[in-house]
Amino acid sequence: MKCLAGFGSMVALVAILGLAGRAPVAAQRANQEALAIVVNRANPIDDLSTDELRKALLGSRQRWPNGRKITVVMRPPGDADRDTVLRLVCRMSETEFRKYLLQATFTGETSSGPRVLDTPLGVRRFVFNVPGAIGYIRLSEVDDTVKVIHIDGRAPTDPDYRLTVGPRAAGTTAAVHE
Amino acid sequence: MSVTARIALVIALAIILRPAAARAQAADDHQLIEALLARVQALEAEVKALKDAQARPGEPQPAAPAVPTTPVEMGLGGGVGPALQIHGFADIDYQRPGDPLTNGSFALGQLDLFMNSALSDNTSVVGELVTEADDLNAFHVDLERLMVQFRPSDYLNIGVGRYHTAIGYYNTAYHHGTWFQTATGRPFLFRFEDEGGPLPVHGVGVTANGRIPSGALGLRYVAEVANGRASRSPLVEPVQNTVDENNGKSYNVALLAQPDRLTGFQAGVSMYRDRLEPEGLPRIRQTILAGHVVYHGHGLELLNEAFALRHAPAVGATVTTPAFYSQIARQFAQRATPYFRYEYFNAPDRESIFGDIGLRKGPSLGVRFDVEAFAALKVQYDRTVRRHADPVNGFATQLAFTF
Repeated sequence: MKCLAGFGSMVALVAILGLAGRAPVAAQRANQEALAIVVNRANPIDDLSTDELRKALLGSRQRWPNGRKITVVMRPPGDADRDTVLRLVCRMSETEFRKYLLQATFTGETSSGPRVLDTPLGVRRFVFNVPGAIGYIRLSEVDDTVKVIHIDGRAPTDPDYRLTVGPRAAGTTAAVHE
Repeated sequence: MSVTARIALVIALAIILRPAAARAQAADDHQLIEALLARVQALEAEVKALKDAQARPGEPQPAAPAVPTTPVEMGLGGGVGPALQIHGFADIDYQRPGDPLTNGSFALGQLDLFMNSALSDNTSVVGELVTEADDLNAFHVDLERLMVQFRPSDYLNIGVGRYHTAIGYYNTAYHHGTWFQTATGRPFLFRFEDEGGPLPVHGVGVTANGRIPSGALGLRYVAEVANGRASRSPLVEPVQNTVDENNGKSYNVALLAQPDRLTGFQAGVSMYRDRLEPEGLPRIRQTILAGHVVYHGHGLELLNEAFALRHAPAVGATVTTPAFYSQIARQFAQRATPYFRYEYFNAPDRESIFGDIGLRKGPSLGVRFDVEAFAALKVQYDRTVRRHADPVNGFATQLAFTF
């Protein structure tokens, strides 16, 4: 009996600790916003794996299956969205990414790095106009001029979508999106 | 028809038969992207200016800049020609080689001007112009790379010109910019020809590479045809830039694997063949077999390469020179990278081309400090054991940077 009671206490303790640990995670997730990977509306791609996305961003894959050249558009260094993409997709810091790009250009693997635009509006316009473009913007910044693709089969609205970012700091370019 | 002529014919046909419409579309896309980028950047600048004006209602509204806010390319101006990007790489050293005949010296390393330009979506040019001083303190300028690349798809990338041969891993991963390298210098095997390196580091000819449809295995191929290297002699220019010493061309093929599941891992094998005609010696058939396993990731660098350099003279016995190097480095706090390298090269005394090198083996130990994002200070100790000679201890410091 004592043994059972002890086991029950342990289970209760684990449950409490688990809930206690989960609460901040849930709160943290609630503050997160999904980063949508966007392509031109004419692009037939609907889904990319994280590996494929990384290859596209790093220039080791330069063509879409339809033969169009992949043109990557990114936000400037220091932007939280860019840092998130580098960390979660490319698994690199900003310094590592810049060194990687420099070396890829140096070895002739790529002829140019990603295009850099300051605002989500700029990213959307660029993706809208360039058939092979791929970029990222926050889900709240998406409109019908671009196409959102799934990553590893998950849409940005799915609860287990991995590409999320914290709230934008006040005074940043987020306000410029319209 | 010789094999070389057949390969050249296939490449020429591939280029010629490529649909003209696709070429036109690629050129149009490139121009469209450049125009759009400029337009979007101008619009962004306007939005920023308007926002600033709104934030300061009492002040006069500033004029929007007429040029893009984030210029990353230096063009000829007004879209007259393709944009040219230039990066500089250089290093300044202090070396004490350990050789009793050589003094410890401050040394200017290579000043490497790397240029690249996209002519269209599919075609680009890379060039590398290096200025360096020789042992007599006189400066020389060398065109180390000049290659036009044509990449119609991920499965085919053809380069024509002077390039780094895809023998092993190091030679194509690292070129003349020492800032990229963890250590102060290249492994002995990959030293440049004019520094006494044994391999044909540079090739003048045609190189092709691309993906092989292989799913998650990530296979790639390389195939090269070049003039090859002049028979090793310190008295002649080893890279046959304009004149080949014979009609035989060198061939190199390589197979690489970069599995999706192992980001940063690469394994590969390559085989290089050439015919050497050293003065006063019988013709030699050269075969260089190479294999490598490397990993870059999580701050770790593991480089392992092994070689068999085989020389089969028309008269006499075949001689094989085994060689390898291993390098391990680990970065801490994104700044300090201690590293260790061990090298081994063992040319038998009867080897007719590498006999003067003989045996070289020993460790190198060093630390690289990334003092800035684009500048690194390296300190390195080397010990080299040689056959028929005393071991030497070398010490080098290097400030390597890019600009």
